[in-house]
Amino acid sequence: MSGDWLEIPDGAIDTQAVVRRVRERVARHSRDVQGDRLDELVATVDAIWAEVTTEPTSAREGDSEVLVNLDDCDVVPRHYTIGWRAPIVGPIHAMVRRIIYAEVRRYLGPALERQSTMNRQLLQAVRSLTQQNARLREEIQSLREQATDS
Amino acid sequence: MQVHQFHTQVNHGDAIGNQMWSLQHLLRKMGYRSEVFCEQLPLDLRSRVRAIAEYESYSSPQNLLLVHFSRACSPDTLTWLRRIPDRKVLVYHNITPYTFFRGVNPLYAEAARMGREQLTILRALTEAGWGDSAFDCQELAERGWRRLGVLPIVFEPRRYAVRPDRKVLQGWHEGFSVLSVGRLAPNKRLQDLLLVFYYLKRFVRPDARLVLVGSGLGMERYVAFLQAVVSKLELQDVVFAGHISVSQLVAYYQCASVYLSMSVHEGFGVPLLESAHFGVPVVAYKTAAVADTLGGSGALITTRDYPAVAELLGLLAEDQELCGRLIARQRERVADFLPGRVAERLQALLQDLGL
Repeated sequence: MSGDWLEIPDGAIDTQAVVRRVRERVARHSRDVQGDRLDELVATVDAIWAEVTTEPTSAREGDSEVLVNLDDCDVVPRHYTIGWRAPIVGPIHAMVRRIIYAEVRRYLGPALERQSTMNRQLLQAVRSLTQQNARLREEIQSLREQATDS
Repeated sequence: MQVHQFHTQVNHGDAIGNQMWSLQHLLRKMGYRSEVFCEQLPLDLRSRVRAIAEYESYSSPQNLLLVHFSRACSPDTLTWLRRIPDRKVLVYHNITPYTFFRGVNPLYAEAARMGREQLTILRALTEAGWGDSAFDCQELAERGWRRLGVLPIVFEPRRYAVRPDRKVLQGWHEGFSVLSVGRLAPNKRLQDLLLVFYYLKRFVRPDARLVLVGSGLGMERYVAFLQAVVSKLELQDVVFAGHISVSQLVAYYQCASVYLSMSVHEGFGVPLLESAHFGVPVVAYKTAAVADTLGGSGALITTRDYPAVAELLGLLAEDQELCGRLIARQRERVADFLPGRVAERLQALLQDLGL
């Protein structure tokens, strides 16, 4: 870690001293932190990013394609808004709807969050099974070809 | 003399909408007749915004039209801008490069790509280019504008003079809160915030929480990615607050211990000023217009060394003197964006155009 990664453009603050203190703190915790573990986490984040942003490729013959993305797994209505147009009755109507919505969300929200998490885990499991299935198909095909040749 | 403003879309509470109202107020105070026009007329703002179809009755070669630009506009709008005889100035709020939206939202990616292409057309239609920051002006200069000026976003403290949300205050006033405000979009690099928070929570401040305020509308795939990261890293106390009211926003700022931005593309950075206003120390990745906005205040980082950033946050929590000094400088900086200061700037820019 070089010393020039921090800029505090204030003459009253000794930036180099702050960097030194940060470095000391990092060193103090370095025994607890395994550098590899952090690298591993960064790699995990990159892998999830690649998974989320890669468009599903077209199915090869014999493969079963999973046409579901991670964002489809989220069943929580996160952008539900309650507005109004009518000038006087509108705000009252919206307020009543908001109260009902808040009450419904109080018991339904946690269940939907759990459902979304489970959906994501299921999708990852299904994707891994699909990949495994494709590999097994290729192996069977290769064994069949070997059997035919012999 | 008339100075009107136009933007494709004006929404209640968004940064550009707020800037248009503030400029309208300043222009009227200067004695200009000033209205706000838009392409897509919002239902709840009919009394404050006019459709471009109505502009015919205002149009005149003596008028100045400030064309706010932050996203692609329709071909009809470009035709309309070509047709009207009014003098025009581009007010550029920057467009996030389309590459950030690739794989996240193809429509946003296309709109961002088109928006940058339209800058070439707008170059021929406008006589000057004003940017929110020197960074924005730099881009306009690269695209051929010669008459340039910085017209910063107006910061109006009265917008935040509301009673803070009691529920938020009660829920979050204790512990160490790291705050981030802004649309949940890939250019904000919120995954970096999560990695900093991972270290912070485990090794520095076990009582820490991370509050991500902002809408994920249109960015569902990115939000799903963030949630998958939270789940994979087994992170506790990460709050996705979503799109919130001003009173909730004020409460979140009042509960915040530090504001952290790891964004790699910002045309300005209103939340940086909001943090400064609420006395929250800012730690921000130095990129695009972030340094322009902070103007010598806050702590700028040029590293993605997550442990170092987390330890810096921890240090700020412990060193009250350092924290206080940062906050004091930030408060001084906010003064540069108050209506009076921006009015002087606007006056100078208008004089430069001979008005």
